[in-house]
Amino acid sequence: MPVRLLTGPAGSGKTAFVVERLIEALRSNRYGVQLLVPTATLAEHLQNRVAREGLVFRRHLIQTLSGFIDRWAGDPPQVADAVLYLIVEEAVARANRPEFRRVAGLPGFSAAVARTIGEFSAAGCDSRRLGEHLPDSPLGAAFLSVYRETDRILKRQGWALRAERLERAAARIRNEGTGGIETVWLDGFHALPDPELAVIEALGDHADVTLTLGDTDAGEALRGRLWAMGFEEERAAGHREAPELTLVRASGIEREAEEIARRIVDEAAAGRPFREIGIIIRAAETYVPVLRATLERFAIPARFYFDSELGRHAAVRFLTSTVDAMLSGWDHATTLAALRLAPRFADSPAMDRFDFRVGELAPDSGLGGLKALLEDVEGPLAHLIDSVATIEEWRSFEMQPADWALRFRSLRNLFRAARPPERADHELALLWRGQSTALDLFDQAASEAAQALDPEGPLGIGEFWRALKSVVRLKPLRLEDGRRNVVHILSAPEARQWVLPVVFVCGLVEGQFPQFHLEDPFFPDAARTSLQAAGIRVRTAREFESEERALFDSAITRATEQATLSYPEFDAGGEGNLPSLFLEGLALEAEETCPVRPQPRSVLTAPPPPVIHEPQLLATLRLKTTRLAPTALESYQQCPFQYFGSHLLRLQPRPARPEERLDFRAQGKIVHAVLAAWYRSPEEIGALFDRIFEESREQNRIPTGYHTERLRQAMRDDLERFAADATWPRLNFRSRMEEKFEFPLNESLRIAGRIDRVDTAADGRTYILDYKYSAAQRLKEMLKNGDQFQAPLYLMAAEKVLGAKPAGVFYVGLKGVVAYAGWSEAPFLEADPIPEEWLAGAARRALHLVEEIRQGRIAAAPLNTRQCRLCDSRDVCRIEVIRPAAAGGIP
Amino acid sequence: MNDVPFTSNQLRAVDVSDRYLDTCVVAGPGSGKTTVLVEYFRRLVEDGVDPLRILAITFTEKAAGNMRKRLNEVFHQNTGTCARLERAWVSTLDGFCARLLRENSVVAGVDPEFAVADERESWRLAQASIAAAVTAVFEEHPAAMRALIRGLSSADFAQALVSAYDAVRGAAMTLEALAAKQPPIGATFDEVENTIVALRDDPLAGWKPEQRLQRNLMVKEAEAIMEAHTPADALRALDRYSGNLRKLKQATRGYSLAERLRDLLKELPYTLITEQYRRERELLVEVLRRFDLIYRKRKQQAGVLDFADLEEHAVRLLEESPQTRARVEAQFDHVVMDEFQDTNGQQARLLDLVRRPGRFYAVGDINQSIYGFRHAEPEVFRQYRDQAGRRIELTDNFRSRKEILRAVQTVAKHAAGIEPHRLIAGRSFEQPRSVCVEAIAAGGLSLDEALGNEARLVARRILELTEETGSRFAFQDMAVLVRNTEVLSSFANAFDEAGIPYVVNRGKGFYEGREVNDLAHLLRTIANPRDEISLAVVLRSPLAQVSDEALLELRILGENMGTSLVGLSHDARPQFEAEDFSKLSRFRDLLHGWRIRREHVSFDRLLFAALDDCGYPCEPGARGWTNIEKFLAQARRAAARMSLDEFVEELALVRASNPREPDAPPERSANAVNVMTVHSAKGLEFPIVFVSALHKGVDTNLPVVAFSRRFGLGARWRNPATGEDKDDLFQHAIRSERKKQEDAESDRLLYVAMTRAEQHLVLSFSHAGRKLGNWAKGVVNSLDLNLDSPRDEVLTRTAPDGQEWKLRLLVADQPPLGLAGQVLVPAPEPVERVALPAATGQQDTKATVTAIAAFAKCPREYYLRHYLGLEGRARKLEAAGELSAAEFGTQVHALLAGSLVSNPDPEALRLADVFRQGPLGRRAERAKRVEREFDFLMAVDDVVLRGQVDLWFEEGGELVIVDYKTDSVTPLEAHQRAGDYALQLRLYAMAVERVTGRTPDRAWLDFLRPNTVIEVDLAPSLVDVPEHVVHDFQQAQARLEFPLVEAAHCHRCAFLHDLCPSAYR
Ligand code: SF4
Repeated sequence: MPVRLLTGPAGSGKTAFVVERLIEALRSNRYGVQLLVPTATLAEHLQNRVAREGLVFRRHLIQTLSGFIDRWAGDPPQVADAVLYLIVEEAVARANRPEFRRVAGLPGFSAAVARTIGEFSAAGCDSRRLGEHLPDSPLGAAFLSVYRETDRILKRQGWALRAERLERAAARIRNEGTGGIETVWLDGFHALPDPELAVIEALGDHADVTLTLGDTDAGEALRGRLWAMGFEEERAAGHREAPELTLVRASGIEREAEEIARRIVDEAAAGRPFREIGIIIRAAETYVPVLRATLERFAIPARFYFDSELGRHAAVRFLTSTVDAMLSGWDHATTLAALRLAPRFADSPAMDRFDFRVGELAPDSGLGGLKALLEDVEGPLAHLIDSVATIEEWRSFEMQPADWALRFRSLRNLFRAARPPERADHELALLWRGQSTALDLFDQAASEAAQALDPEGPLGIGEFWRALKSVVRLKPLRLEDGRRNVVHILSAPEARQWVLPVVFVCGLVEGQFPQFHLEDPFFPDAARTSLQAAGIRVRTAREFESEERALFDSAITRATEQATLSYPEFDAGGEGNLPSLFLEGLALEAEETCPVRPQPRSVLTAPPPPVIHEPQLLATLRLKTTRLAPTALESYQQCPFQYFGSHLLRLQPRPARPEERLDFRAQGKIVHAVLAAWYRSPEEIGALFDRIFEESREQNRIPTGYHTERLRQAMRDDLERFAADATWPRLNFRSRMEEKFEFPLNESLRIAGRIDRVDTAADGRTYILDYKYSAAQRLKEMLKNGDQFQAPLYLMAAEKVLGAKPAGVFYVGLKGVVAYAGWSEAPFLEADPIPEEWLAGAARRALHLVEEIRQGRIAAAPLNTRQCRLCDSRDVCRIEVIRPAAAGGIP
Repeated sequence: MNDVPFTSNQLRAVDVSDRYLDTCVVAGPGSGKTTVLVEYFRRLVEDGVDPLRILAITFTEKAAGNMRKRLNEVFHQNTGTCARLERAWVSTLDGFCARLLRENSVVAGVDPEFAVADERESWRLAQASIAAAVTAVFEEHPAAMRALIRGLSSADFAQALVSAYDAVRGAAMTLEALAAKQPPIGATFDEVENTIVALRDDPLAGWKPEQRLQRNLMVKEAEAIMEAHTPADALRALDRYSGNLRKLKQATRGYSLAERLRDLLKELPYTLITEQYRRERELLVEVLRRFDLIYRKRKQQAGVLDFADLEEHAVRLLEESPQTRARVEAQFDHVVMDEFQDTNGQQARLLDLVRRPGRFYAVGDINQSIYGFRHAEPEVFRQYRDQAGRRIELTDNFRSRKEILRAVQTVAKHAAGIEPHRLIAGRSFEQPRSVCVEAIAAGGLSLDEALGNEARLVARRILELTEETGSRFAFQDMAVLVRNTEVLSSFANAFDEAGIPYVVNRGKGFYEGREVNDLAHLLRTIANPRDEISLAVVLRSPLAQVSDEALLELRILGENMGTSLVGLSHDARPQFEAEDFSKLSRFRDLLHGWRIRREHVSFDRLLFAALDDCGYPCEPGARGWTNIEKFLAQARRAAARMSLDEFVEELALVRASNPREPDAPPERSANAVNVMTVHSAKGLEFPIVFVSALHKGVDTNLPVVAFSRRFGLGARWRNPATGEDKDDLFQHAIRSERKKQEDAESDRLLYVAMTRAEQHLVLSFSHAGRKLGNWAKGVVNSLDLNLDSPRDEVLTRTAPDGQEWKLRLLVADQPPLGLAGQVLVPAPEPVERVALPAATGQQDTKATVTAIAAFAKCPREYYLRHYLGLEGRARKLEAAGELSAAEFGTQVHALLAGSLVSNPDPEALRLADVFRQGPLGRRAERAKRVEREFDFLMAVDDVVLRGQVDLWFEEGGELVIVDYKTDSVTPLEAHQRAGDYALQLRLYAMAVERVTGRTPDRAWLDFLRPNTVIEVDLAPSLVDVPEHVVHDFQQAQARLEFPLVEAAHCHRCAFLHDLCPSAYR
């Protein structure tokens, strides 16, 4: 039968020629035709093209080569990549080669072996053939033994690599004919490794075959093979105008993406449909996320022809983390993380509340404990917990892999999709559409995991789960998106099949496009060259690099009208990029980007003034300030907004992490409690502390461990130091502890509080003491601060409530050293004299401040910015104490 | 300087005829070393060396990129060489290691797919690992660990250990070697003992009795120390030792013995502390070991290597595999290296392993070695320089004016850390400048105030310099260099005040900035709006901008503000100002939208949406916009690895540690003053340089646990006798070693800073009357500056070589007048606000016939089931080997199509038989044309439809279409359902008609289970014209509007009362 090779450069009309021939055949009712292409996307594209010509035809007339050989290759089926990985893992273990001892357990190792096996197999080099031509390389023999082991396991478990299936199909076609197919066209292929050639050769025995090849793809080796098969070369005669080329330089990838978006918006405004535009990417990890975000921002509908990780999809994360939670014995944090992923609870106040309650009591475990935290034991959250509880029993099962797969396929029942919003947009709809795809793939993964495992012998969930997780990790997820009018985002290899009026090629910097190819750790270039000499077509790093060039040439010729190339001048770390050396030959002058933003969807108004003036709220303020503690006054004095945040709004943050719970407030509380108890009934302070500390630790669920121990020791030392300290002539006094007080300052304000200790001497002299669990330095600062409230108001309280005229007031610093600082009538412990008019002054100031509060003055105005660091409202108040230095303003 | 001819020294440096001699090029600042390196490379290649056989190592990625670029320019004519250059080994040392390891991963024992962890990721892993290590050791040895915590003067040693660990690796030391390190020699007991004995036995000729008494007391006290049973007792005894020398007879042997004893006893505590805490110190090493294990394990699990790993594994690979080493050595004829002075111990070792003797070409300058904090060891360079076969000094400076160089040398002369090195001005400038060097001293009542004044004076000078007649200095020509980032905010304030544009890089406080703060709290709010702090931040920010009154109202409304917001209903409306209420409601709705997408889209997309939804100011020109961008980029990267909750958690941790952030990419177009640390200015040059805040040093306190390559691991402990802190012998030795190194490095850092300037150099500092510290001290002394009173004068100074130069000295204790308001900045480029395009044509290009039929029945059900792919009911758990309904149906169809079915279900076989025996089956047998499983494509109104006709045939003059159904239904139900399938069959008829060119005559539905055959009317009803339905279908998809059709079929619909809002009964 005639076999011919149709070659030509990009744009010479090879595909058009083939499609026309196919249409002709269908129009004249010749159905014995077949168009074969390398990828499913291309197949679908051509199917649609032909259908839109008004023809009705069987779908398989246009299909991928892999799909085509299915009916000839029969069993065993092709092994999926993820399964191959698991099998290689096992093969590595079985082969147990000393060369691989150090790396055998590393996840990337089996992946690298699997990849190289895949590459060799695709080139028609199975373990037998490799064995015959094993090149001299240090790891060759070890690799070969793993390859052999892999082949053995594949056979035993009923799997085949793709090459094997191609060869089987070729043999059958050769022997049995093509089953009525008279004409075959193959279009869009690039590499054509030997097993594919074998199929083409077999087809040529029985049918009229036409193969198209681009000029850059028809390398010498391939041409040689084809000539040997009797192909006759013809040139495609068409010619396409070269597109206009533009080069754009952006400062970073964000700017670059925005510039592309800007140009697309311009095109759209000029009436160009989105579907006529494509973006070609070489470094997907860098560009896919940023383009997704940017195009979405500019409301440009786009379809990404890229896989993502199945394991990262929210639906799958929900399932996997639920199983992990179960295997952790329902550790509360892990379980909560899983439950939070349940789709119906994404915006559920009940879940939010539950989240905090769990956070407050963590760490803990067990579903029972979790359910006990529920407010509504009949509510949806309770049902969710009940539903996940059903997998609890799996832990005790021992089953065959196939049965495990069935079990895991029922896991999707735990996932209950949320009702789609009534007014969804297409992006949102795509998210919802993705869920079932992800769940289906998860089911598939379960089956594949089962197929990769030894079918004999029951196993526990642990072993199966490990395999399934590997498969899920490796399984690609591509979401269905059949929208018609979208910008196409393509990888450079994928783009080779495309022609669009307007094309952007981004990321043209060294290391990304071209990518740098390293030598293979198993068969470095020297070894590969010797394999090539034996007729095995594997590629060297050098050849991979020249393919980069071909990819680039192809990328910039995909456009029929306009191709815009771009690169970022700096990388994310601010380092300068080196523009792609490929750009050098084009001699283009780079254009700069224009800053651009989408029109915001709302207009920012001037910030409202920070003040309360609504009469009802002012009334509330008055009510809330009829009784105040000295510390509240101090807080207001330090900063009205601080007072607003902590006393009026009483802002509650999310629960502290367990290791943060022993914060300075908690420490202060414990120290106060110990001292109060110790004064009441003296005993050994260390033992007393140990008891109180332990109580508080348990109560607040503070974990034991190094940090707790460190603080515990420090607190204990401080207390012991205090107990041993003789600075204060303790025995001369009678002490009263934690004295509560409340008294009116005027008719509308009462001052209330609690004095840590009141010491009265035999002669009636009384001192007020207030413990500060902070460093001595801070104590000094307090002393310097004449405008304080605590000390004078305590004095006043003592006078008014306790009926004693105090001789002084002291702060007792306990941290690190014992320090006394205070005011006293008579000289005592280096105290300052009690300032004149102190109490009256404080009262006046207090009344003044209260008046201010009641007038609604709450604007942030810190008296001492150093204290802002400790303020709970520091994020809320919008005062910047530390200016971010990372990047200054450019006015 | 490309056009400038080479100097004779440069010519010697690039001469390749001596290329088989190890060479050291000592390249002073501005001496054109990159040019020399590139030229050397070029000449090697021109002399026939394959570019692939040269290993060129640079200090930064940027330098590597630069070098590649310049090489490419040099060889651009020669395509062959260019192609080889693409694969050439021009990279940083880390880049080289990474490539080496990847290509030899198996032998090196690293994961072949390893990724290199960035600083942040390694930080995260290290933090988690050290916590785990400490906890583990604590659990195993609680008592010992308590003792350790008690003993260490600062109990928070975890961070110190992590840095020590870094240093240990940088020094290429193993933990075993570390553990085996013996303490440095301190005062020994024998020495003390001998001295006591000598003192005791001294005859004390001529001493008075009370002097003798004193000696005896002294001896007794000293003996008490010696007799102590434990180091702790000895320390206590030592604490009691009074040792008053004054009461002894001076200038006697006894006196000098007592003196010696005093000195020994001063040193003895270090020995005693070392002894006392021997076990605890071992435990420290144990914690390190554990940390090492855990950290390695975690990196392994994550498949990453950190930078230190790259070097360590590369060294190990070359050491342990002689073949690899031989291959690598043989691979490179020449090894060329830049900035050799910044090499650390590990790197030096690596270089030794790859270079053959006589093939090394290193460029460096000891005076520019400033990376001690990264464990660089300038000694390595010094040794090499002094032994290299060839040594060339490049002294000509092609960067700076001669006056600047003279100033540098004048200051350097007094700096012990700078090796004498001549700087010869080699560049000529068109315009003369009478004064090129200035010093500014700012005073004030407090140091804070003085610093504020200094910053303003600097701002003033910046403005003046841009206005200077005759020069063309722009803001971007200037750099302000500081040593300590703490002062940056003062300069930022002053520049804001003066309207000077600036860009700061490498600073702290990134997470404290208002914008980043807003966004971080927004993420927290999305994670859980009950977090009232975060909610309040967001509500007060431009994201919602509600009033404080509204916040208070929310508080009053309920127990939690978040709950109040989410549940905000119209009833609450009177409570709020109208504007607040509408802002709150809008924000509530937006929040809902973000929250339902939170696990599906990356965090940066959520944030972008929020910024645009809310009109948040975030564009070039807006305050903090580079920070916003950087945060968005962080969020984007994080989204690839973690959930929102995890990210929020990580942010909290990172923020608490207040890290220094790496640079944001600079804006090209920005005409702004560069504010940066001296370290980040390395390798750069600017026409005008301010070296500012000279008075402000950095914290050089030794951490509680420290490491030095020479002494090992030292720590500072609590002296049990006094409760005070005391070094052990290791730490004591490290402290003095470190002090020396740091002083020298500080000198070099100033040298690097000053030599960045081309045309004008300003040195500025603040003082508040007190003693000057840090660089200010050296500068004032070496330049002999009088700061007594305010002045502005030009002085003449003499450089060490006798040349004179002029210095302007400005001393002020006030800020300059009239600084504000002088905004000379060109308006930023206008930002284009684009209106968003209307996305039309968002319907799918293809559909299945089944979907179209489902749509015709109820668009909503179609939407839920087919468009979104949702399932209404839980799937039942199949028993092993059991077929699902769908699989069963497929089997029956396959059997009827005549395909091979392995292990067919008996029931499927039966149903296939039912059909074959039935009238249609028998007719099909007789037909002249039969198509089974006709899987077709057909375009209708721009949609490509896909369908599968089970069977069509021509028989008896009739064209007949048949569709089998395997549903479990009764005959009655079959009749009820038949209507649902009419459209489907009509579409089939359309397809068959287009293929055959003939209108099908009849169509049948064959329900196989009840064995009921129902004919379908092919004449299109008025409502169900296929073309119309397809059109409506497209419209619905394009608009995403899928109305409910509530009817009896709802009872069969899996979505009723759940995903479908229908209330149909
Ligand atoms: S951080 Fe400072 S300014 Fe802000 S509220 Fe607190 S005290 Fe006031």
